[in-house]
Amino acid sequence: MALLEVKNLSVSFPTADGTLHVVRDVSFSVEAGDFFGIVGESGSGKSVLVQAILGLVPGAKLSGQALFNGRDLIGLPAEELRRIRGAKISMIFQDPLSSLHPQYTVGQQLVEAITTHQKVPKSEARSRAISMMRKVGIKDAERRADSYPHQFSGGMRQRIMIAMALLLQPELIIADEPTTALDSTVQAQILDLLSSMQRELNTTVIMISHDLSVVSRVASQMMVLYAGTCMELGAADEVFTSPSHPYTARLLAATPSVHNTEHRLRPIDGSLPSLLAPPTGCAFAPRCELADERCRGTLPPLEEHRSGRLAACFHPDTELAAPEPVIARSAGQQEGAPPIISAQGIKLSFSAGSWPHKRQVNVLKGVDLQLFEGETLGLVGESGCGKSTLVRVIAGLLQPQEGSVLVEGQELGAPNTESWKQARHLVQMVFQDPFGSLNPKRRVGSIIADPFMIHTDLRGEQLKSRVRELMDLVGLNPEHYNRFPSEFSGGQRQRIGIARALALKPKVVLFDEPVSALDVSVQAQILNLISDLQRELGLSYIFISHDLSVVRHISDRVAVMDRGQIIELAGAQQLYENPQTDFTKTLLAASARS
Amino acid sequence: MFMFLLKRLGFGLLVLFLLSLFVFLLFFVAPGDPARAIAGDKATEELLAQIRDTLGLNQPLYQQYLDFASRLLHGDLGFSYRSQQPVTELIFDRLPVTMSLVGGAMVLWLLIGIPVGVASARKPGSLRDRIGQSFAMTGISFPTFVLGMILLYTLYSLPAKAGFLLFPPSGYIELAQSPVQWAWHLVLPWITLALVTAAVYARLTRAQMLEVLGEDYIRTARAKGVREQSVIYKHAFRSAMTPLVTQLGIDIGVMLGGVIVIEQVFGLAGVGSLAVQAVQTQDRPVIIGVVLLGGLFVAVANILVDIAYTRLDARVRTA
Amino acid sequence: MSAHTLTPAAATAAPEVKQRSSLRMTVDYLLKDRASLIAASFLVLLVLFALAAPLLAGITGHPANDQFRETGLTPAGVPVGPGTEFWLGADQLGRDVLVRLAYGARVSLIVGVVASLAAASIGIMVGMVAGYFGGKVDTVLSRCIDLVMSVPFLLAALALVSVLGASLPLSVGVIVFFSWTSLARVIRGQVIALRQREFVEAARSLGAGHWGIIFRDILPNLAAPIIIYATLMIPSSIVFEATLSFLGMGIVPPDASWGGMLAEASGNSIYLTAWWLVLFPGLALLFTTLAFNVLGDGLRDALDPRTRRKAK
Repeated sequence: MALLEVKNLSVSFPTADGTLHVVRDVSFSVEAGDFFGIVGESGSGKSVLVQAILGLVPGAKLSGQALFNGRDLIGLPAEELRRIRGAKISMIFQDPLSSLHPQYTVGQQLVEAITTHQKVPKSEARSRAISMMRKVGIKDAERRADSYPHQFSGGMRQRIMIAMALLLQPELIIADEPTTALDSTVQAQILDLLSSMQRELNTTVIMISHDLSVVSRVASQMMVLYAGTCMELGAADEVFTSPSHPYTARLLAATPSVHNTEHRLRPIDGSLPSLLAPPTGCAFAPRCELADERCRGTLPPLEEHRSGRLAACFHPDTELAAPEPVIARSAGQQEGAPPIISAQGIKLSFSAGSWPHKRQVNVLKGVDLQLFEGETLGLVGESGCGKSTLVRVIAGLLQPQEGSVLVEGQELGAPNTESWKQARHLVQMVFQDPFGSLNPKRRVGSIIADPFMIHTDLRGEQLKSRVRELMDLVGLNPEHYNRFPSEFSGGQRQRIGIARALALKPKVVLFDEPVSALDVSVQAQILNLISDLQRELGLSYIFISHDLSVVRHISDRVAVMDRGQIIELAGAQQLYENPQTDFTKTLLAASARS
Repeated sequence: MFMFLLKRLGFGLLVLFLLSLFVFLLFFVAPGDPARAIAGDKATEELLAQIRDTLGLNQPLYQQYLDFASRLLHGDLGFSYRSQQPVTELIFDRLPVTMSLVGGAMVLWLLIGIPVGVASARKPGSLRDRIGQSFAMTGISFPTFVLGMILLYTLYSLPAKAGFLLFPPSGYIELAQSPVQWAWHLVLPWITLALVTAAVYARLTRAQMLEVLGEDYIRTARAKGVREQSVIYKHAFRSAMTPLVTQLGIDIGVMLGGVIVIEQVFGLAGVGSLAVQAVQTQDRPVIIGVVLLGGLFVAVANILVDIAYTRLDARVRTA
Repeated sequence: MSAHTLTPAAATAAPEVKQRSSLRMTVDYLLKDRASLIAASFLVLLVLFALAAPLLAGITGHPANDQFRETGLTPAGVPVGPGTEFWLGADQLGRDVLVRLAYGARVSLIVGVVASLAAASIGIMVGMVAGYFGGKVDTVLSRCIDLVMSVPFLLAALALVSVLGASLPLSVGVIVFFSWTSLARVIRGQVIALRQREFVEAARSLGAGHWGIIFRDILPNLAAPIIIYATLMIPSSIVFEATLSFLGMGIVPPDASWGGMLAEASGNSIYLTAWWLVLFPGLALLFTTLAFNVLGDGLRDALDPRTRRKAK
């Protein structure tokens, strides 16, 4: 008998605009000892699916069955479900800081997990908690048990969450995006810990992630969700290497890889269907190149295809068209040409804390960087290494305490000086968050027109037509001129941000994690757009990302930053194949494995 | 953390200093002659001159303020123009009334407001929540004196006219004299003050609890299998408490101003009604005394809040 | 995707579903909210009532400050109750309660609205400047806010009135001085959050000036808290004024104000026999503040989907 058997599960939410169908008719089973992965982009319903089974989603309407050891969890009285939660099934959440109570020590929180379900003396519970902390790799556990969550680093907090989940030796552990909020090196450690604990304690794990490769690395079984429906189900490595469902295949083709830079990414056009009115047929049909009338009209059943894998598709195992090769850029680094941007000895520090604990935090400790015309310079590093601060200095948003930035040989100068204003025409920036970087209260036309309003006399019809040209250039429908940002999807919003950055015809565009907030299928669209624009307009880029494969895909040269300094800078291929510093090696190793 | 409290203490002293400057200047630039106010309209010029001399009114402005401030630091607030009694004595005579009023009402409003707020937040949108919210909405909308007059009319006058006395007429009996009489005389003012203020706490508690109940760590607690009762009180209320304590400090601080109306309606001879009398009779030393006492209350309450805050919030405590 | 991001807004972002504009959604929501509708209707009637004050005086033949000792008082000097001559009764001086109530409504509404608008403007400016520029500017302004909040306002108001003498402008001034702080704090907090949003950085990197950003990018995003807090400021201003008048430090008699009418009723305990002297001004005051508060809450729910989701 399977440990967990989910049959025809649907989850929906009544809202003011209608019913949201978040999970539709999903069935799967998890055998004891499995490491079961659930993969899906945002809106796939993957988190809601597992949390709803455990009664953790208020307001959700459930139908179907979820048999845990043969006992249906759906419709179980709240008290019975509570006894199962934590004792038999435990959970690990994405953000370990917000998931731990800020006002109790980690020791108290671990002890509570035990005393909630078992009648044991506090002292015994505490010693069990401490030994579990040791087991998950927390040094000096005896003393650290009395610390509060904010006194731990992100990785350590996630170890504590894992310790909490393991304390009562549950039969099933559900990890919901356990590594997404962490840096890639820490991410690798946590994944290792999770799989070693699973082997050692012989428990069953369900791990949820948006990242196919992360799941394929640790999971034995894998399920792919899209728009609340199950697309494919089977052995993890097989799904990853030879996907049966076109959605899985397209998802893989859209993911940049550290190893393969020969091919252009193949984005999935279109966007997620509305969960208010899901399609009657296959949910992926509107975006699928193989879709025909049958796909749109009837829901394909989840059937066994090649090698025992289950896929919900009428056209399984179809080979995708071969990807296009990367179009070589004509421009490149020209021998001896002066750099278009040159940063010299940039030092910047913030003062943190308040008197008398005021201290200086050195964010940039003397950085030199040159950008040549027509090239893309990738900038990688872990969070807090200063890469975002560096591009903000180059963009003129922050003023360094020491050092200077030369744009085409001209000193950038202090904000609002004449040279600074001139530099606006040469250097522009695209931001990470497609939701945060557009003013929600202004129409798209007015947002893109902003640079013209500030720097030119262009007004009225002329202005409008320039804005329309820009919208057309980045692949937006110029008709949508009068819409508000909230009416666009994440990818479209990032296009708006790019259009705004291109308005003044700059020579340099700085990208700060432009795709990290986007789903893989949309990310590929934006990456291709960025490459195309560079070729057409002869732009030079500085491109920040924490994702090494994205940087590898797009960059000519790559700089690695660590603790406020550039520690390695080389051609992309050279750096990835022959890293010189230990830090770069660790970084690459972590990303190759995740 | 010690430094933080020291800074807050400094700020409290600054507030008191500015407040003393404010009242001093207010009465200095004000029209009217304090000497005449003391001596009355029929006083002779010689008498007035003599009074001015004793009060130091002929000194330069800064010298007058320094004298005023140094007397303040010695706890000397001067003498009332009317009764010629020391102002400190006048205030301390009446302070027990005001303290009894505020203290009793505070216990009541916390006992009403917080449970109503928690009950509302546990099931938002339910009948219980709607009743709780209607209570709170009416409470925050009720001007204190209107509620006081209505209670006085329905619970005192009407029964009294019908011949039986539910509550005593106005007045104050000392606690030491007779605890029962003390409470009996204060019940109506307590209820009035408590109902109006409990509404604020019910709304604040509800909003805070809803905020906290949406946090990730509440989901973690539920995922651990913690009982709902514990989730609400041990996890959620623990975090919701901090803003409640802040609000309580603010309310205690400004209470001296707040009780003026209640004392007026119920005819209680507390510090508030002393202030009103002083204003009506232009008794400046008394007004200055009461205003400064009010400032002192606020400053002390603020520091107590800060101490409570550092005790309650682990993130501040361990910073 | 976690359950918390499953808002209706996220779902309607999909292109097939027509998105309603935020104004439309607000109006739709308010129209469905019965309490807000009743409150708004009451306020409309109240404004008409205040406007019609001279008309009422004409119809009844009782100018507000005239004393009708023959018709309004019994031979024993007790005021007459509600009836055909005095619809809502007469007061202890034989004046018409209805007419005085209407003139009192004018005072309450004018003080409430004027003081709130002025206080809101100050609060918005101070909050925006403190929040946007941060640093020393913020420290100074925040300390000022703390300072004003630390003053026991009713006592300070009493001291001011005792020195400068009671008058309507002074009442308004005192109310404004002590009520801008809470909005300033809220706005400051919001602006600090907005300032860190990338669209402000984007505007900076395009070369927009500070004031351009404050008025073009930040102010429009503050519409919801401004509307909500300004609405909620009106009832507290009205109560503040009524309290001052009740203590004899607001509107100067014989001019009518609700607080003053209640003070006169309470002063000589006349209301223990003439209940109408308390009931009508008391209810007028209560219902007016209640209506503004209910409307403010309704607006909050309509404008801030976060609280609405929780309320459902």
